Amino acid sequence: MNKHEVFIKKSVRLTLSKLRPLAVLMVLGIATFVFADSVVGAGISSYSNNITTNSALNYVEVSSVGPGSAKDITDESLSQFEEIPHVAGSSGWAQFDLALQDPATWPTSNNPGAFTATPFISGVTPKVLEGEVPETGPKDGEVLLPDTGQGQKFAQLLGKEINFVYTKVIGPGNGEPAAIALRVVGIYDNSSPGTDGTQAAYVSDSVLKSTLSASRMAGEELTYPRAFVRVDTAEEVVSVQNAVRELGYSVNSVAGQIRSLTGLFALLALASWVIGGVLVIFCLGVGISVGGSWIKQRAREVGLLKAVGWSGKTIGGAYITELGLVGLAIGAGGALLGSLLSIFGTTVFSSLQLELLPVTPWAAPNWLLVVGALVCVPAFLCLGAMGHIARLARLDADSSLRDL
Amino acid sequence: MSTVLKLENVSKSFRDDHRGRHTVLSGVSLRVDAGEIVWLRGDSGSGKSTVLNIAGLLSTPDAGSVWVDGRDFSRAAPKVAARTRASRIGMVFQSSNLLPELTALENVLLASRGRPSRDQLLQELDRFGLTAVADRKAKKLSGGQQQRVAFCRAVFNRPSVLLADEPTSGLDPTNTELVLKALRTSAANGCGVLVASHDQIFEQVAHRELPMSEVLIEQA
Repeated sequence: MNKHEVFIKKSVRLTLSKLRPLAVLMVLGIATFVFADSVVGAGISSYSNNITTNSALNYVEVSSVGPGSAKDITDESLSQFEEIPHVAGSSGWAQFDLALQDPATWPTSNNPGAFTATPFISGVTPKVLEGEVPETGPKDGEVLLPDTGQGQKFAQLLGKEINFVYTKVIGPGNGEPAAIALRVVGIYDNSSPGTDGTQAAYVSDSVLKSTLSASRMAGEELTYPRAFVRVDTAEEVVSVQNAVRELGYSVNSVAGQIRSLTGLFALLALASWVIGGVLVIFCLGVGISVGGSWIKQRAREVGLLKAVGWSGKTIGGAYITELGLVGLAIGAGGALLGSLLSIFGTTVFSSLQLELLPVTPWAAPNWLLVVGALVCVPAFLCLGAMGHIARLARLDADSSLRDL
Repeated sequence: MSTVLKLENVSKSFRDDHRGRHTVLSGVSLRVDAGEIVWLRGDSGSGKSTVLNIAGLLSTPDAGSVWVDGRDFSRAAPKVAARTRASRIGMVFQSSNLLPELTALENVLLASRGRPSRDQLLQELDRFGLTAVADRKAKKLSGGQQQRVAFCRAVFNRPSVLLADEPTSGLDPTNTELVLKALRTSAANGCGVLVASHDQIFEQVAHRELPMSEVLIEQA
């Protein structure tokens, strides 16, 4: 049997037991910091992902009429756009009137008026309030209606298949009503109308295209006043914008805002570093005070060990090893709990779909913080104890034993 | 018989908050031979424990010399003193001074040299009738059991010198008898034993009685 191993093993167990409240405090503190950092990190990741891949920032808006250019946007134009490197897709934009055909389906007895059928552009279309609408928008045969209009609420139409009516061209200057059945899959927030207007009814590209074709004279080429070109990431928007411009179209994008957003991300990233800094200070404060006071109480033990032949150096080594292992156990406990909290906590937060805290689920903890906890706690416990260990190691065993 | 412990003109004083330095020992000399039990007799506060601590190299004398097994350790480096304590000196204190959270066996292990096996440790504990409580924490042992563990720890390395400070303090007659037996056995094994106590019971085992008042004139 090795006496040093036995002593250290027993001491680690005893220390963890005697310092349980402080150990628990440290574990919880570390776990909280690791978790908080993960939430911030997951938030940054989510924001960043949404903004750079699924927002107005990674769209180039093409206009058929603009300063210094006037060129029709056709299906052929859309195909040309899609051949540009880093372009993920393109949609023609146009609107036409669509009305609820059957008064029985009106929310009230008052005529709700006409909607304007509009293509769904992911990242540009307003926020969905009710219903399940995929990121790609309504499918064929589906429609997304505004929340309110003409003093009426359209939420009661959610989930129902409604007949809409539009004007089908049958000759020059002549048209007749034509019906299209669409299921209402969502209600969007139209309280702050964008360029699509307050009464836009979002439909799929193919519904828009087929209905638009029917509202034109046979043989007449389908043109769009605007088109949206979706770019892989916001970083490539400028190059795509230039390429579209070179094709002779007037272009516009909100990618210029990226610089100011980069600053926002930097600020959020700084919050992550601040959390790391606070964690180090927390470990420093608690570690030094706990390590110091714990060893200070053990003068009697030092005297006894010296009496049975242990040298000051051996005792000091045993105490440092003991505190190192205790610190490692506390650090590992905190890191493990923090990691589990990060993984499951971000998943819970993500499932709540909080407006102010959109986080990516299953977020792994910041490994730097985990390593920091594993290193800092043992290091600061030992640092705090160092002075007392040196003093006790130098002290006559007789003096230590007199502290009995 | 060879002399295993010798103190020559040892003086020791301590800093006193009220009176400056307080002299506890002045010109103390004594010797203990191998196989001999010497009873250092004196009242409380007469300096017996200080003599034992200096003899056990736990404390450095202000003046004079301390010889263990024929070697002067008066100015030995702490590391050398620790090594000597581990190999040549066994100590039993007034209060048993065990580490309370460690078992009886582990307390003995702490004082061992090398890596003794569990069987070796159990064998030693058996000599003191402690096999049944070998794995019990020291704090759960009775006072007599604790003192026996302390003896077991002190003699495990077969030291040349055994120092015992009031070893029967607070013990019942049965345990007192066991302590006396342990002292006799140690001496019979060639160990020089110095017992500091005011208890007259040591008359039964001591080869020599040394009142504290006389150590000043004891010729080493």
